[in-house]
Amino acid sequence: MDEIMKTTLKQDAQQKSPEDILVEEAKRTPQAFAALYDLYAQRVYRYLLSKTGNPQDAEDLSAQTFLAALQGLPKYRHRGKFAAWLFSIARNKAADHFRRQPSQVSLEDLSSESGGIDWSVGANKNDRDLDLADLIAELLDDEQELLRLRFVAEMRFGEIAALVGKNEGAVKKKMYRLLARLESQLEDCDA
Amino acid sequence: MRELIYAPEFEGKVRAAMAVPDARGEFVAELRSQIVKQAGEMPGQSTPLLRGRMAWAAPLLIVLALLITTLVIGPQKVWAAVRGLFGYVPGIGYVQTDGGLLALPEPVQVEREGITLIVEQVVADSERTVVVYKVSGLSVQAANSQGEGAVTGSMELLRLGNGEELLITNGEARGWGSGYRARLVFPALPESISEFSFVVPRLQSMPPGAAPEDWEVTLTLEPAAGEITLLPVEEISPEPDETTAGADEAAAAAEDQDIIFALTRVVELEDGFLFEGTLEWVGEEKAAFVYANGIQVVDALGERVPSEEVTPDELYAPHTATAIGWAIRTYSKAQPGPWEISLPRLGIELYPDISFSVDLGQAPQVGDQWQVDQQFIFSEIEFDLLSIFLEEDSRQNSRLSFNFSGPDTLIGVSLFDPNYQPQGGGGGGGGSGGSGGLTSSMDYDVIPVGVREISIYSIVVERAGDWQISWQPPETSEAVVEQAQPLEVCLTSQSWEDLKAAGAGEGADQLSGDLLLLTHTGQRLPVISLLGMDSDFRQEYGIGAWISLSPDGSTIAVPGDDGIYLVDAASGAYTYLPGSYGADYPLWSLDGEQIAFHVWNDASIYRVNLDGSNLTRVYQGNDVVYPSAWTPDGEKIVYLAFGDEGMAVKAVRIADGQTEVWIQTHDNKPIARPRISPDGEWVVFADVLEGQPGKGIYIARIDGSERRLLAAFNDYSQASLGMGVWSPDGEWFVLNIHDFSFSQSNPVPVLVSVSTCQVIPLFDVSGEVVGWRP
Repeated sequence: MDEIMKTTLKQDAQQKSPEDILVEEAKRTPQAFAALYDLYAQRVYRYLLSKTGNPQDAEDLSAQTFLAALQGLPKYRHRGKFAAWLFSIARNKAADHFRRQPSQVSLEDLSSESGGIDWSVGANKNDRDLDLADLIAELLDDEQELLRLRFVAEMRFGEIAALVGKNEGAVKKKMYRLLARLESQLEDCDA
Repeated sequence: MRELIYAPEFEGKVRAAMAVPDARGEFVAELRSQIVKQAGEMPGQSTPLLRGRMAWAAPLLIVLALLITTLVIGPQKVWAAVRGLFGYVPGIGYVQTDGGLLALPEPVQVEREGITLIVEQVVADSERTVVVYKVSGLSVQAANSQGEGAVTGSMELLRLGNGEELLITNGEARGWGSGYRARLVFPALPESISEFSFVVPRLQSMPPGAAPEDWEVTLTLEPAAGEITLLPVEEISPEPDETTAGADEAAAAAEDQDIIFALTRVVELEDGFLFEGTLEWVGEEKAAFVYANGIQVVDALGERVPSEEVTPDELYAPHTATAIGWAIRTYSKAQPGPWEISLPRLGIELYPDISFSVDLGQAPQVGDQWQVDQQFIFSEIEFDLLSIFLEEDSRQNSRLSFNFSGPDTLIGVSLFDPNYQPQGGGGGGGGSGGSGGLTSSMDYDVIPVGVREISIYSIVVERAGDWQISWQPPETSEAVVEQAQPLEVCLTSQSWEDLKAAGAGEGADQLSGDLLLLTHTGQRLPVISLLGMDSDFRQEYGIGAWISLSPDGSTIAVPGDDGIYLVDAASGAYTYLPGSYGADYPLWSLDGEQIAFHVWNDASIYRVNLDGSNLTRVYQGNDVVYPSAWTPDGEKIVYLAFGDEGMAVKAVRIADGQTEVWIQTHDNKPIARPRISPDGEWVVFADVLEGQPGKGIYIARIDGSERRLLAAFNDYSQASLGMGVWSPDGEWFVLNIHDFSFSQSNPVPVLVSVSTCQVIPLFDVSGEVVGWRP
């Protein structure tokens, strides 16, 4: 019995996560990449929408991201951080996008519609959400990006650490400090 | 000192504050199809296209064989061999005309709780089933009922009699506030099936529970006959057709080094042509198209043919990284040929297998620089890595920055450090810069040391090409020539360019009064000011937007975060308008005693006395309103609202809330609020141009008669039209022209005489004119 148990335990230690299996399968069979796409499509889109503020741009960049990932998959060496790799591609695509786009200002804009069915003009936000959103908008770029990776892209701390090139502990510490500071500022606003 | 402590639920609040909507279901499905298709074409894999098609009807074997040939010859020549098998149905797309074509004989309509769903068209051929449906009667308040970030809509599907469900493979939709129209693509129906249910679990834009759900409409198709308009499709061969008379026509494909820009199909529409083609990378290196912008059509006289780029057919256009489809639709048929279809530029991402090493030493310091001067050549692009330097970014991370020098066409370099933990693109960086200089950076949590092996993951190059395709339009009739007559309008894109070149216009010194301006200065909102036209008067009043000037010019109504403030124009003092919490778009009554305003939360228009008394709801509706004016008799409030398939200028009678439609436009976006003349006889409003892409500012009597254009800018102008205000005497209308070629971010006011069409630009005024007091 003991030997059987030991064998079982040894197999568990080598157990791969479902994502690990998907990545390995996709590297062997590119069509299996679609399963990875299913897992990440909305997260990548939301992340890019949060960065660009434009649904059409977010769609274009999402398409570029996934197609680039599909093309680059043979070169990718998986060590459990597929999200970091995928979102690094997304970040690069967003950076390229901002370098290419001229800024335009339109004044008599009554709606933020850009063609899709999104008529959440004057959406029903309460004052507190607006205050917090204002505070977030005033953060440094890297602080906003940290919040975006965590709360929009829904990345784990380890994945964020892999993406930004820091150790996980440092990322957690920075996040906790940032949230504490935001909460304190929000309370000051209410006062 | 609080350092690491915060309330656990605060994370939820941050998450909510940063929430953004999900991607459209149609987009997610479309991209998935594209990925699956591209994955199937990667080396070593069987082709799902072939596997799938094997199950279809026998006539498709012809197409199947031709598609196999495509892999060898190229799409252009294959399509040339498929003449006569395709037709085009407006609203549906291309259809196979052999093998049986089924269509919905007439629209099918269902109504539930005031919402109407109409299945307008269904066409099924051996390749796909296309459904076009429209929904009207939606409530924007319901759409917003769960706030931003709520999950809305659903994936429509077809349910067969045996329970099998066909899911969307592609789709697009256009909305107008109270409704939308969608074109959805499903797989082909199984053989002998002509009846099925069209299922919409949740209407687009609606969150759960906000509107009737689980719509199911039974549709029965019949062999297509006269109920559909089937237009012939001209297949284009990339090689000159030597059998055609006048064979000095250029090839229908332009080749330039590694790129082929080809025209593959032409459809003659009622009012123009639909061109579709392919853009293919035939270079040896692996590449991906990043962007391909600005396809233009020019006639034999060098004049632009009014046109707009449209989405190429999802089934018959290539969708790989190295081959994409393009499509452009013209709104003219009469211009002299041959026409030149040209693509001015595109961006390509290349994947060089290039690595280089750099020895940073064992103790590099921030500020260290390494001179490299290493040249790289890839795909005939020469670029140099000049130097590397180590710096510290704002997060106190170490950053290695790589300075590249190359041609102006090199617009991006992405790097990858495979030996750096974390693996993958974590060490990657994009390039930026210009004038031949490019900097690409990688961030590290600790200072990198020793020998680093860096690979160049990708480079992005912009190709400005001279890809042109020549095409001869058919001869035109007199009736069609009439369509091509230039618009009679006071201000056009071309006349605006002429005005800019001429400089200041004459006649402004004859005008008097003060202009109420909104001027962007980089703050969150523009600065409010009054500027004298015939004096040196200027006064500022803080920041704001969507403001309104009282009829006597003494007070400015300014929406704030918590309601409307009344600003005394003389003293600048702010006074809160009681009862206006959540209000915007303030409007003054003609006697200056009341203000009307809009409240988003309950989709209503209210009016109130200046002291806050007599707060009364005037209107509440589902059509999302933008109040714009009181009528001079004080009996009605005019507003812009979402009508059926376009914005509408409407009016609500204050006494009893009765509404009436004054003018129905064809513009599905609320670009600008209409403006009523001081005498109440005329209205200026925005609408799309007839017969060509672009927007216009029109004037008409309030009953819609005597409609004519004041200004028209086409879609490829560098300037855009902005609505302004009437002069106090009703003789002039101010347009705010935003010209993107100007370095400043504020528009230029332009006065247009509504009676003589005289145009006076005010180049010395920087800001949007939103009021004019005598």
